[in-house]
Amino acid sequence: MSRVAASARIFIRESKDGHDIVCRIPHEMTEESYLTQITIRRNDEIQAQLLLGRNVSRNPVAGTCLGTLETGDTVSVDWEDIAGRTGEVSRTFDGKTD
Amino acid sequence: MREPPVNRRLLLQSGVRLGAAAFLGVGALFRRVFAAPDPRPEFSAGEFGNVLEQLFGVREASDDASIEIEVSLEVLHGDLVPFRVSAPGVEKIALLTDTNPDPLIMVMDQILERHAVMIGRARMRHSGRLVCFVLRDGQLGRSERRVEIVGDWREVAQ
Repeated sequence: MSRVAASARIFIRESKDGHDIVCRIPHEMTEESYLTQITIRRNDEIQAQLLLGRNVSRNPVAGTCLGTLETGDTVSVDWEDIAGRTGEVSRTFDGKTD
Repeated sequence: MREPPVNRRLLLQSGVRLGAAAFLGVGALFRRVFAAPDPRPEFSAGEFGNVLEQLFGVREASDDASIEIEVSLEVLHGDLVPFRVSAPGVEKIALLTDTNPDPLIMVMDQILERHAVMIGRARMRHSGRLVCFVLRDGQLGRSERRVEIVGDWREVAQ
């Protein structure tokens, strides 16, 4: 029986370079259907854009690291797959990390 | 018709030759099957040439010690290979593998942070290398890590 992550979620974790922002996206990631693009924003400003191929695991996680992250900052991640389906998730940083 | 002693000698000589050939052949086959891995680097500049040309507009890369690839030496299976790649002052990062027909895993672009970090989970068909390329001031840098797909955990004799 296969399991699929229930929903998209952004994880925030302290790291040596600042705060790692990691987004989990539920997607089957098959040869025919896979995510092609993920954009990471902080307060609506693009921080990085990721282009994906077929060689990313099922229910992919993708992320980056922000050198500074202030309480109240909103991190948002949006994505698009090869079929044009899109999705988005956001999280406002309340000072707590995962 | 030849004399019997000559026939016997020829027969013996050809038998020895056949035996020696069979012995050497089996030895060569044994060495081929059980040979140690070739210590020479497997990477060739042209291996990812087309992908690099497409992504960066250049085909040649030099070793870059500032690239940090965090990935396990061994993973249980290739469907889930977590990685974290970082490099200072780069405009673009690409992570490729030589284990899959399509080498591209992930590319990071439009990087705002001074210290670029790309996090993800790769899928590898078998043991092989993760090769990271970064673009900095028009120069392409490269670093790589080998990942072994070990399958189920095995008991190890102490």
